[in-house]
Amino acid sequence: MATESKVSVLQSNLVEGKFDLSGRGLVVGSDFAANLRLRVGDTLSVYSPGEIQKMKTAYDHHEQSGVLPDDYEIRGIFDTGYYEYNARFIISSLANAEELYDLNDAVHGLFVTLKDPELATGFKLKLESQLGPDYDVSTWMDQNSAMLDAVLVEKNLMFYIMFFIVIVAAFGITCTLITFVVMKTREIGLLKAVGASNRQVMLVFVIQSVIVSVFGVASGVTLGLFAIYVRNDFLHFMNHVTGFELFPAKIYGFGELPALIIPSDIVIICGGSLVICLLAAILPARHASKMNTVEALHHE
Amino acid sequence: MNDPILTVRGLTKAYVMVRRTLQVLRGVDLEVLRGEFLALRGASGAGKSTLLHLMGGLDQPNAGEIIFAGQNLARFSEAQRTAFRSRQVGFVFQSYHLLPELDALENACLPARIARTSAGEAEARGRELLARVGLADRLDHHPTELSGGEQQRVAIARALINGPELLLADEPTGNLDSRTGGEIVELLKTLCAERRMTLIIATHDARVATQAGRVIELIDGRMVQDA
Repeated sequence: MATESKVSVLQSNLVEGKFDLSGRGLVVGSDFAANLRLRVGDTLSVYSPGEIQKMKTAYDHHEQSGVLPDDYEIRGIFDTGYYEYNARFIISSLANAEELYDLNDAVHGLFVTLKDPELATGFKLKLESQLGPDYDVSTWMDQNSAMLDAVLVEKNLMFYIMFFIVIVAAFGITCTLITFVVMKTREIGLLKAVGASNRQVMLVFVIQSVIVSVFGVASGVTLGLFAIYVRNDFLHFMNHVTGFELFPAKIYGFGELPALIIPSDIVIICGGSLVICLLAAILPARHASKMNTVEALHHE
Repeated sequence: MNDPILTVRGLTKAYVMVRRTLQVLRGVDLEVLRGEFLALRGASGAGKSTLLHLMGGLDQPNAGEIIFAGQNLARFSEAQRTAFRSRQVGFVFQSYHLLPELDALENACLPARIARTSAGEAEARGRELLARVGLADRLDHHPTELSGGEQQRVAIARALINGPELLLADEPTGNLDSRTGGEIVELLKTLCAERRMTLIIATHDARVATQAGRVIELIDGRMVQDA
């Protein structure tokens, strides 16, 4: 058990009861328990596939015999945060499972947990070559390929939406700066009259844009990280207020909204935003620097 | 007061409008001596301001020469004209053109900071000049907290901060009452005499012109009088 706890999160995810599989003990997922209205201490009757087959054969032969299910006691309920496991997995002792499936001393399959889940594909190839064609090896990526593809599509879509939002924001910066340049035309004329070069005038507006951009990016990152931090509280709050589930577990497979913060993504997004904002500032800044001094001084 | 600091020959300037060309200067010839106080007189639209802008390197003529200390300003590159405006000429405008975000000292120091003078030195010069124009106790006041005459004094301190040889004033009393205007002209005159600076004032006010050592009359872009 001590070794199992290193590779399985089930024991640490118990929400009710204890992880006790001795005798006729079972541990089930929270959604499974909710669907069948099970509590710890309840009895669950289980027909094994072999017993169902026996019932079918007896029925086909018009025999008057009954097959009784095996009774198990619910000892614990777990919540892994993953709907698929919470709704479909029942944990029993190895001996009980072997008996249920008439496997004697065999198993249907083995779960292998890696420290780094991203290495699964490479490890699968290694296992396949060692185990030969008689064994079917599949990774978490193979088993969830449809959802992973959907997530990838969503991520790409989000990237494009974000890109266009930044472009729109950049136009906003350009418009604001053009307005600012027009408002400051007389001051620009004065700066040039007292000896400011075109470059110096341009720098005034570029530096202003850099300050606004850096402030905006810093606020964006801070607010973004805060939004990630409180995302589930927000979802619970919205669910509580509206009664509408924004992130249904049955569709997305997760009890709570998961998040992965990748530092390189943040660097790319912040760097890209800064560059776009800087480019957006260049046109109005250049316009300011090229102004005719006399016309600017007399601007009304 | 001897050698010419500024010589203007055959200066013409026209502005191309949508449907017509507005001829502002039609061949102006002028010689200004070092340390001289010259008044440019004329009605609105006579070309006084345009002539002043051209002599100060704010604009370029269509034809003619502007020789300042042996160099033809009309052939200066943009960078050379910028350096000229920064170091050798000071401007005083009718509407002061002070930056509202800056206080009196910061406004006065602006050309020095643009010319990359250290903050300490610029501030020392600014304090001295503002004291000289009578605003020693108004250093941290913003333009909105100053009267018209005080704002024009700040503008004069700003024009002098880089120690120019030539001071150009475009209707410096235009927005002031006659008493304050008289004080401003007197101040300009005294400061230029102290610093051996050449002062050229564009004005349509006869009382201002009478203070000058020499008066030039401009009518329709031509010099008609050199008295």
